[in-house]
Order: sequence, then C-alpha cells, then structure tokens
Amino acid sequence: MDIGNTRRDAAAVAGVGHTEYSRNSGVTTLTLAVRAIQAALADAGLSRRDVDGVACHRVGDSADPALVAQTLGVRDLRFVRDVFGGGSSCIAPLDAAASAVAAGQARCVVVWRALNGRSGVRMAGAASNPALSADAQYWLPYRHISAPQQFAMFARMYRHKYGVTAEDLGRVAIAQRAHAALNPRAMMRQPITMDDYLGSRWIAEPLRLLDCCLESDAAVALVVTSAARARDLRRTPVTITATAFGGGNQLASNHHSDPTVPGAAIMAPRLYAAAGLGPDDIDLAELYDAFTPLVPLQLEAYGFCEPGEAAHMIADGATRLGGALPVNTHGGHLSEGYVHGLNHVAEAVLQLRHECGERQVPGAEVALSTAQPGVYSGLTGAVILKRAA
Amino acid sequence: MSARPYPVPDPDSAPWWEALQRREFVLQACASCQRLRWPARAICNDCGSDRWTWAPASGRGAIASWTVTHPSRTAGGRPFVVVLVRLDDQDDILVPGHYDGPPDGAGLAIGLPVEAGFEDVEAGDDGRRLVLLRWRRAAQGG
Repeated sequence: MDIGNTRRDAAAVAGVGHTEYSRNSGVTTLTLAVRAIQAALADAGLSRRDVDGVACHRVGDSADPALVAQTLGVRDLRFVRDVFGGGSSCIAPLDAAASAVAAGQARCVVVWRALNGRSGVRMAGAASNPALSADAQYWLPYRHISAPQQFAMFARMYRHKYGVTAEDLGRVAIAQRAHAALNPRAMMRQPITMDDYLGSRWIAEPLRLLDCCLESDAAVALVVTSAARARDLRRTPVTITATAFGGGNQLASNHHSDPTVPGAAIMAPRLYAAAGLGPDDIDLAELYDAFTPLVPLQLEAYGFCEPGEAAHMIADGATRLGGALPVNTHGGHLSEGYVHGLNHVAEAVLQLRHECGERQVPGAEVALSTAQPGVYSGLTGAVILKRAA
Repeated sequence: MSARPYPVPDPDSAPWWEALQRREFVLQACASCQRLRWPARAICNDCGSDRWTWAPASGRGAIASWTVTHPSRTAGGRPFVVVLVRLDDQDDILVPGHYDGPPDGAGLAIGLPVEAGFEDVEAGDDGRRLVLLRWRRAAQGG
C-alpha cells in the first residue's frame, strides 16, 4: 500500500469555528484563537474538556500553542504541532492532526490560525514575509521584499508564458467578489466590474490593488477527530480523504528558475493517488489566492485543465458558482478575508455539510483546499475532503 | 518608503557582497561538478560537494521579469523598477537588480539582452555607501 493511502478517510473535521473578521480586533491573537476554537467545539457538540491536541501555523505573529492549550484548560496535552510557516504551510497543522488522530496519539485535536493581520503584523509589510528569508538579503537593498512585489515578479512571467491578460486576472477578482456577495462573513461584498478592476491602483506592476488579498484580524479553527467518533457528533462529518506535501523548488535557487511550474504541479498526482480520486471527482476547489494569478496557476497544477488553458476555463465561467468547478466559493482571500489558508478549509467543510445557503454548491461531495502552490517558498500542501456517506 | 535597507550577509554570501563592493560580479563554481550557483551556498545542491571557487560572471543575460513598485502616497516614494535577469552563464540562475532606464519600465521586454553595471547608493539609517547591480540594455552585438 502506498504510504499516502494508509489513513484515507480515517480522520474527520467534526466542527468549524470563526471569529468576526475585522481590521482591528482589539484583542490578542490568543483571544482570537480561543474564541474560534470554542466556536468550533460548540459546532461539533464537544467541549474544551474533550481537547487533547493542538496544532497551528504562524510566522512569529500569533499565540504560542502551549499558551492556547493552557487557556483551554487542557490538563494532559497529548499532541502539539507548532508549524513555522505562512500560506505554503497552511495545510501542515491539519495534516498533522489527521495523522495524530489516525495513529491514536490524540482523540480530539483543535487546528487553528489566528492573526491580527491588519492591526498587528501585516503580511504585506517589508520584512514580515518569511518566504524569502534565506535569500531576502539579495532583494532588500533594492526595496523589493514585500509579498506583492515578489508575486508581481512571478505574475509577469506567468502572464508572458501563456499570454494571460489583465482581464483574465480581473475575472478571478470579479468572480470571487460575486461569491463573497453571497457570504455574510465576507469583508468585501460589494460587486466589482472590470472597470473597477482595471481602474484599481497599481501596487507593484503588473499587480493592481484588486489582484491582492485583504489583510484581516481573525481566527478560524477546526476540530479533528476520528471518522468513527465524528459520526456520533452533532454535524455531518467531513472526512480527511488525503493530504499531501510538495516542493523543494525556489525561484532564487539555481536548478529551478521557472516559478510557473510550482511545487503543486509536481505534488498533485501524489495527492490524487492518496485519495483514490482524480480532478474530475472534485466538486469545488478552495485555492490559495494571496494574489489572482495563483488561481489559474493552480487550476493547471491540479489538473483541472492543461497548462496555459486556465484563463479560458475562467473566462468560460467554469469557476463561478453554477460552473463545472466553483472556486473560492466564500470569496477567498481576495474578498472574504485573509486567515492564511484556513478559512479556505473551513469553507470547504461547510460546503460539504451543505450549510452555505445562497452560495451552496448543490450536492457537493468532494472538495479540494490548497496551500500557496510553492511559488518562491518551495513548499506547498493540499487536502481533499469528502462528505461522509 | 523609508531608507534603503543595508543587506545582512551571512557566512555563505559575505564574499559575494565584498566582491560587489569592488564592482565585481562573481558566481560560485562547484569544484567537483563545475556547476555555477547563486545565491551563495556552502554546499552544492547538485553533487553535494563543499568545495568551490568564485568565478567572474560574464555579466550578460536577458530580462526574465520586472516589476514597477508604486509606493503608497503616504510613504512619499516614487515608482521604481526592479528587474530579474536570467544569466547567459547558466540559464537557471536569476539575479535581481536595478535597471538603467525610465522608472515606469518603458522599453523593457522579457528576453531583452542586458549587461551588468554597478551603482553606488546610500543605504541604512547611517547613510553608508553600498554598491548594487544596475543592469543596462546590452550594446548592439554584445
């Protein structure tokens, strides 16, 4: 048996919790984390006394998981995973929780991401981005280190390679805003037009303001337990069918100088093999979208279309609600808010529970949720989730 | 934007920065497999050897990408261009730098032949001098 298959559907997401999304929470990341965790436990029909494991990712900008566990009153902590990393690592805590539960190390692991991403440590800020830490010295003196600048450099290469236009990227932003308009949680719900997109100010050419994600103060939490136990809990269980990691490539390292072929493209076949599924089985995809070009890049990397075809797929409406593969049904990081990948997993779970109201994908059974596809960072990950039969 | 940050070299990169301050653009050449590498690393990611020499780069390459950063009005900065150059010496090495051209990037194109030049700028809070790469359009037939 392939090593990736051994815990297929063994663990489940039994609960989901969000805090309010804001630009200034006025509370600590510890408070945000615990509020989201308590909401997720209540959603699952569990209490803080049930928690015996904790897992999160952070970049020096969020509460210590030991402190979170203490604040939750966990007496005998059986599992801790404190991942240093940003968007590229955002599936790692969930992956670790699923393995811990499947292996019997812990029975109930809470997974979260909590950040004051607007009022506290801003991701768009100069030195806060860890992705290029090893090679940041070569970029800093040119005042070229922020995430929008880095991804603008990639965006031009991607656009040039496949003839992708500004309008092609605009359609990503417009579609996600239309989805957010149906999402009461979303920070940006006012629909936008192509004129709005093309008229939005430059951040770093070729990226405009409306190519960029929001910055949010918020937390999202998930409760991970065994699939068997989840069946006895309050909500329709959503099983963790497969997770995978990939990467090793970095723009600023020799031997890999084409960021338009990201780690996700190399990893995706392994993910599908571990799940026993293929791209045609995916009903909706929540794709990490710090910047618009990452959406078409991942449509190609995850095999939903051929390389270079994603812009056409988007223009045809396939990724909008009602299309063949709705993408970022909550509005994504561009319009719902920026909870560093975990709000995407939460949305996938809620879609598979058929609790998404106006933006519900009818009959959704299988969802993909991804990390930053490995552009620059050299790391990526993804999860395939399934509505339990 | 505030002052231009001064780079913080590490043991791998210090000789590269020192060479740049002498207006020399160098690359590491693996003593075992001969592959060139940059950024600086003590160990070859191809063959694993920890022996290398510093070799002068040709200074020729082609534009792989560029950005035009628009600092926010509150930061008071003006737009500026940063280019990424794919080296002729070995086409899997990409090196950033400033560009000797207009601040809106007019005239730049992916594939445009360029050559390395140097510029002396002020960096850090204490206004130290720093030599950086400043790429320019290659001379005809260059």
